Amino acid sequence: MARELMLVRTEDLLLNPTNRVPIALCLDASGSMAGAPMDELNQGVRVFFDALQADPIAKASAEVALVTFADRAETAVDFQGLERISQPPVMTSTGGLTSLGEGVNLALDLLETRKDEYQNAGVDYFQPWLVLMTDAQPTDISNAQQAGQRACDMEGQGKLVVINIGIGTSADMNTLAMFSKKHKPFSLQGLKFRECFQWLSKSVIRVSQSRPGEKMDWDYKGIKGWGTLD
Amino acid sequence: MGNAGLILQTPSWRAAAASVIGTQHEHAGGRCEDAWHVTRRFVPRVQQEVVAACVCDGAGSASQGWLGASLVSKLVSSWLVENFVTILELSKEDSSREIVAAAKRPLRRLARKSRLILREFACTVVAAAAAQDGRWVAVHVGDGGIVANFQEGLEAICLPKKGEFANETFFITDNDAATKIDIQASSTADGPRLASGFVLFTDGVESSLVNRRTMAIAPALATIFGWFVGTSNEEVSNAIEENLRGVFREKTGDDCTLAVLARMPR
Repeated sequence: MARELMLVRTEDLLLNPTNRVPIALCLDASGSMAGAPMDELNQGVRVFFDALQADPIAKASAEVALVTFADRAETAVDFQGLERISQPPVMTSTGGLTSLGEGVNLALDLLETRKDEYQNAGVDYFQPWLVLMTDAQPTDISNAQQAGQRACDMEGQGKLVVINIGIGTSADMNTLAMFSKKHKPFSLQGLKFRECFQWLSKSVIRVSQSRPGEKMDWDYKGIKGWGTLD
Repeated sequence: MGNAGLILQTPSWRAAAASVIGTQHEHAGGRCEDAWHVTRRFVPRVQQEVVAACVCDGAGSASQGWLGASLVSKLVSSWLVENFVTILELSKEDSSREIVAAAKRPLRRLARKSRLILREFACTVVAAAAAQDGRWVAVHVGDGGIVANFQEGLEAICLPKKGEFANETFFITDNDAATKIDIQASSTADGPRLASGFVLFTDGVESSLVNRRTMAIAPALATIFGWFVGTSNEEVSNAIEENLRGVFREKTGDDCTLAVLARMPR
């Protein structure tokens, strides 16, 4: 057989879905976030979406859900590929309550549902991420305790990566600490949401490129650009 | 990482294989962590020649994964040829223990000598051995897989055995490797299910070849089997290498390895 005939055509290969990285952003939209904090948070989330969309592998891999919590928890964006959502919706702060527990439970419910969908569709996925940000104390304490236990159980079984971040001096770091047994909560420096989300996007990009058997370590050095670990 | 020039041609089983470095390792100045080996021997007990191929993917998280892959591909393919009859007779549990021990023993010695832990040599195992009459055994730990050519057509006989998440997999060096190993063989209650070809591949190539939901096999594999007609094994190996580099590698950042065994009419 002539050498030039020994060719595999691209159309004779199969196209399997890219491995997914589901990330649930669970963000405080209570009244205390009004003004500069919410503006900066919106810009940070936009930086996050832009950075993931700019990376070809992350664009095909990362799926982001956005849950906000105030008087109630709401799904602002359900899980979907980044090609379907060019810009995240602009969040506004409303209400006087901080239903953090309800927010985390909703975010974890969305993650569980998405994982089932991946499994049914034969799509491989990486460990899901929960990114939790708040500037206050939860007003639904028992819900928050139950959601904290749920997150820790999943984290302990290696089924969840938790990134819990306190915003400003009023954030209840003790409550935030309930959401991870692996590390203490982070404190955001000032309103460095953009730097924080840039770091997050880089971490997601690294995960989306990881290969079987590869261990992903935190970029602790990068955290110093936006936060502190108490 | 291979022995393309050393492949011997026999009247019945032909063999060709190649590995290419993935773009991620290439850009980072790293090395190809995949390896493959093909070996064959006349086995007096079956009065036939037996051929074996093994492809291995060194763990990215292991400092000596590339070396583990290179050694294990040789150890397992040689072991399968030498023990071809035994493995057809042994229970799967006994075969599993024997294969894992055969791979781990030399690795442990090397690890001790290098003052490293065994995990630093972690790699996956995708192997198949076949006799001239079409009887065969296949061995698999971790990701990657094997497609066999039966009378009814191409069929995936080994598919990735990994954890829940995409970057979790199993390695031959794992403590519980003997329980994670998948062994398939031609023996069935209705008599042997003979095969006329095998394609062994590492993770980098897998998603281009098998749809894990529908179990559809890429038409490209029938094309590759066709390359053996009127060519030498070396020419097929070269063609595999060129296509891995030019076509398969474009679809993944990972190292790519493909080994093909084809039983050709005399």
